[in-house]
Amino acid sequence: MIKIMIVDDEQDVESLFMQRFRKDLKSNQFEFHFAFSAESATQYLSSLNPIDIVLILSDINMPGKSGLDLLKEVKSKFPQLKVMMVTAYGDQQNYDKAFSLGADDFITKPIDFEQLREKIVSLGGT
Amino acid sequence: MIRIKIIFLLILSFNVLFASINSDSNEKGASLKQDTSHVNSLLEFAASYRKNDAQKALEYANAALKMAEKLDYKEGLIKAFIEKKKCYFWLNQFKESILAAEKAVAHAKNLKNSYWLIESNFALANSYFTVSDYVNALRFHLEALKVAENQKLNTRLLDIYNAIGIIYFRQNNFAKAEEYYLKELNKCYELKDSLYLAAVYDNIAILDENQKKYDSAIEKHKLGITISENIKDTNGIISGNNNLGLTYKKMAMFEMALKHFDITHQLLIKMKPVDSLWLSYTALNRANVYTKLKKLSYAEPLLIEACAYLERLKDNMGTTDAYQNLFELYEAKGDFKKSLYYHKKYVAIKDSTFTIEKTKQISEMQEKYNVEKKDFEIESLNQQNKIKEAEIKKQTILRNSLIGVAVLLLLLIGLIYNRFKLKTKSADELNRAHNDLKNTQQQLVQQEKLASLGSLTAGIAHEIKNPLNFVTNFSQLSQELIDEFNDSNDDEDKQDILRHLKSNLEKINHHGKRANSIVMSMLQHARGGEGEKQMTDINQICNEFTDLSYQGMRAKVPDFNCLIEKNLDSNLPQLNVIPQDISRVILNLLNNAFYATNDKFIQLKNHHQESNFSPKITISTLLINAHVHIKIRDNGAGIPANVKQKIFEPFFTTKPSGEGTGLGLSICNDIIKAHGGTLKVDTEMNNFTEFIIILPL
Repeated sequence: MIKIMIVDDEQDVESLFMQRFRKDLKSNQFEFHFAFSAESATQYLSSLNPIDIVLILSDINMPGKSGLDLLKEVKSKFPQLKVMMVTAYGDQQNYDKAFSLGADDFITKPIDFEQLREKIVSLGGT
Repeated sequence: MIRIKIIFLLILSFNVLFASINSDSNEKGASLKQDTSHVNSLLEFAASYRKNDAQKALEYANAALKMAEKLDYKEGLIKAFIEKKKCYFWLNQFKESILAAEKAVAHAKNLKNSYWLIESNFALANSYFTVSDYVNALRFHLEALKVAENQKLNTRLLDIYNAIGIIYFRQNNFAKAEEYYLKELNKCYELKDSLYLAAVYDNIAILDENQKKYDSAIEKHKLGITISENIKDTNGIISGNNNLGLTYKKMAMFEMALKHFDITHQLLIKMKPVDSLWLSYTALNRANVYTKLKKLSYAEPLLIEACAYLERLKDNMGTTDAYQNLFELYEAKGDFKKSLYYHKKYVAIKDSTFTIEKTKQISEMQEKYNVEKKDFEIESLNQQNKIKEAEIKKQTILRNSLIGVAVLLLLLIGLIYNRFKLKTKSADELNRAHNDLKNTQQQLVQQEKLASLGSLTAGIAHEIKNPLNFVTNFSQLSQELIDEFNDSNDDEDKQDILRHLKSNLEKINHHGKRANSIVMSMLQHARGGEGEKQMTDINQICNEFTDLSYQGMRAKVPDFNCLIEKNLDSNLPQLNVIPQDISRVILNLLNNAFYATNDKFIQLKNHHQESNFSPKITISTLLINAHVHIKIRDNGAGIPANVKQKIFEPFFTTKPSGEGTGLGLSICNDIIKAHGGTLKVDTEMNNFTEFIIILPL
């Protein structure tokens, strides 16, 4: 089972992911935790012992700390965690910034869930 | 840019002026020789100080004057007055400059000395030229010219031809200007004077350029430069290259223009002492061409340096030019904050010089009329002479008087017509200038709006793509759910699917509306002023929209209650504004105020704090110093300092995702600015927020 944390300030993301991956959830292939801000994501991470999630999907533009701030923090504290940026900002600047901070992947909204599923499996498997 | 050219012209002619040292050849008596030479040494001292310390030079000139009076040394008196005239010029005391030159002329008349008559009249003409009094400048130049031509003296002849040519050029009388430049040209060849030859070719080239004869202009500029190079006259080479550059610039041949401005620059930095004013003007020219060539990074440092120098020098004309170049540069760069900053400075300095320019414009038109009248008078005088001759010949007094009356009538009609034409023309031109200014201002407001939108592509992408993500994915999911529904046999399962379907459709609807409202806001933001200005009762708008906003809030939050206090000034005059726009601002600020009080109320309730907080907003209007102040105050949580800085930025919002576009206050700010007013905010944490709209009457 791959445990994934999704960080996005848009609450409807939860319903979307739950429905989109309902088969994977039913077959216990994936498990999700939703955080609606970067702050609550770090709080959740530090509450885990041991850290059982392997992948974080994070939005970039959020009120308060941004997804890029979160990425930087996660990569310095928990280098083993994979982080994929999921954002409406598809511009080169954000793309370059994300990879320079150690992001493992980068996809843009609207999300292509077929593609996302493949990426999750390949990232979670390695 | 023409202004700079004319300055160069002036500098050129003054340089030539100062280059010639008053020669003193006619010393009268051996006994006086020592004393008169003392007067002359004092004047030499004055001349050497004049440019750097004109006040000191003036003291020397006054000392020389006193000594010359004591010795009854007439030439010394004239020379001293001419020197004083020059000192006053450098001190910017133009009236005194004219008075001194007049005294020099009076003494020269007493002395009946042709050389000094020419010199003094020439000096007086130049004083009038400096204050743009072209009629008197022309009058005294012609006076000097008459003496020179009658006595067959070459003294100042080239200077006078040149000066008269420039006066006619300034009056746009190109034919007359050419006539005198050609006289100068012939005389140059006769006297083999290359210094003036180069200058006159340059002037003729400028004349050609103004008549759009560019090929001829370039040819003559080059000729002038070659002559200056042959005689190694650096000043001539510099002004020739500068003027050639300006011609190329006018032809939009910017690479060539740059080449010649660069030559000018190179020569100027080698000059000793360095003439920083020339250098600054050259920097402006170079930067202007760099901007045209889109090499903005080259233009920027040049402009900043030149601007700082010209500001320090209080050279209004140059500073205005520098500001204009700077705001155009930053506009091209997309740095609209700086562009606006320099545009404001440009408008401010332009406003302060506008009245000066306007008066000057009117006086120049008046002068033009006077010069034409003078030509007419000379012509009619000639005609009268001819009539007199006819009278002697034919002794027909009746006929003569008839002609006289006819001529007078013609003259009168002509003058009245001329005056009428010039008056309408000057009014027209002023109106046009005013309209140009107004149009530029409007364009700038619109440009600023579009610019703020254009620089936000990332923000727009985010705002549109998020709802779009949900619309796309929830609709696709719903299709799959329908397939599942059809395949399912379990009733409970089917009910579950239907519930999901309904919820998904609601989400699609919600996010579709969200995207729509973002697009609407953006359109409103980008839209040019569609509404028209009309006399508007601000109090009425405040009343209507307070109710509207309150009802809107209650529709969203049914148990919302708020105390509303209105302090509307019943003596408030009507304002000439676009009512839809001002309503939008007031509505927006009211909505924010209600939102803030409700937000604080909910926060306190959620933290189970017992408090006697009750939401309250106050809306007030009042008249202060010919400005209407509209204040909208709420007792919400206030705005933190770091947020306060950003509230007028487009797409900045503190509301949760989806609830605000972040465009509201930005648009409000734009609208108020477009009305020539200001939008301010005053706030205290946990206490209040007050937005203040200030609109001019």
